Amino acid sequence: MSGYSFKGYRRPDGTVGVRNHVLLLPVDGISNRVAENVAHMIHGTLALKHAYGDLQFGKDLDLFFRTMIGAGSNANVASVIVIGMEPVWMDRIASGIEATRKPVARFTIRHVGDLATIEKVARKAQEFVYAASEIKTQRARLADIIISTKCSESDTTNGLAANPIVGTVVEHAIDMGSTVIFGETSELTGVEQLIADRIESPDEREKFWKLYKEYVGFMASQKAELLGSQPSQSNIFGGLSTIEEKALGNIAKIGRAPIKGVLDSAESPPGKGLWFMNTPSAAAEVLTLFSAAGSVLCIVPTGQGNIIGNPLMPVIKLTANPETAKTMSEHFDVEFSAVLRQHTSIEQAGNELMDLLLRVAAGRVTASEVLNHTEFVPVKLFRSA
Amino acid sequence: MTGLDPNLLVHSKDDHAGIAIMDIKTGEKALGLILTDHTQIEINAVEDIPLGHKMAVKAVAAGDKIVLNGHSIGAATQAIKTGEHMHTHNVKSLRWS
Repeated sequence: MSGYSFKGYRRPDGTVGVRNHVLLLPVDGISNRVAENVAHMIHGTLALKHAYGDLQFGKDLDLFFRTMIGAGSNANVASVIVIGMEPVWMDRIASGIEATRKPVARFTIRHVGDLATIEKVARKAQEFVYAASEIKTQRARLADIIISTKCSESDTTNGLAANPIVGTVVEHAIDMGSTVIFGETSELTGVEQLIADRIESPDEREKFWKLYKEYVGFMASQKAELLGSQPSQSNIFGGLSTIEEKALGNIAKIGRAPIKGVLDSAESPPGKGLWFMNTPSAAAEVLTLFSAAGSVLCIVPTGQGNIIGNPLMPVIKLTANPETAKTMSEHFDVEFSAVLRQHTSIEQAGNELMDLLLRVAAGRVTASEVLNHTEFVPVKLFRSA
Repeated sequence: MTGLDPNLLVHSKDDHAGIAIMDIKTGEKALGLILTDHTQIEINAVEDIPLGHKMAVKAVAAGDKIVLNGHSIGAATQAIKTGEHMHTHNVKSLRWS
């Protein structure tokens, strides 16, 4: 494993990425068309299509800006072209990304129209793609990157095998000085005390209790049946009966490392080690928030087989469910049903997964990348004005 | 199943249920492996237990807490006999419905 190092992309702000995207970033849903048209024309560009960015306000708008600026700032991104209907919010996003000192350009559609904007964006994109292609990879260590993990379409095989395997990788990565993010606030229900006890500082612990209670309090205030939503229909099909059972399997994926602190949605970790982020539990939303916080690689253990990907970061997917491994093999980078059958140890599987992680960091594409799973789903906190 | 291979995994000794790692049919014998001490138990399946689903390895009374991997995962809504399927029809969260 060559000392847990790989060749990655060192950005002007010192962060390290494992991919080298030229990003076309629409400010709002109606600017998607320009971004998508240019992405079709110019090889090597990535349009980050989304639905929001119009008439949002307050905390919801703050999260929107954090998500967009975070996406552009991600170390997997070489350069960014921000495209907006109007210039004020466009400037706010572009300037936010410029703090990373990577190349950023901006174009507004107002009083220009789609066609002329497309030409301007396409010419700039061509220039950015040439420049990005000349960025040389450099030797980097696991300690230089931010990793994230989220379990998805979970079943009981997650708690028995897939999640503990990821847990050994998380513990190992933390030991090597890396930064790891996990989230899924409501999915800690039943084990929230165990998580709180692992948070190192009393201030951060207090922060955890506040946001955990706020999140589940909101869910309770809806007075809705939650069985079928959390745990989901897939979880139930796979044998999970209650939220407590799901939560117990869930936290096996973070191993036993201490938790440094608590992050708001899409907030970058201020230091190394293991961090909890306040997030929903829906896969596309969680991965979008992780990537906006600077995660450059994500590990997703799944039971029933989530097909999720992310446009900004490679997603390594694994399962220990033999039926899922057999029926959906194209979605997994590695399958560990031998661990469930007790033919391979969790530690041995963990070593195999760590080796794969380093290969993916060095450029080996994942199943989600090959299958073009590029779900980018910003979280919206409440209705627009 | 090759004789000694388990088809049921039990996280720890005090657990009320094991998890089927392959489909187990009514009347079949489940060979359960307890993961914490690697001891084995044998239980007759009185219902079909699909892959990933729980089989009661101890009888529980209605209202009893169900323990899995050393933690409560909810309570039994009715009496559950050893070898029965344990799921949303007879186990309920103690946190939310």
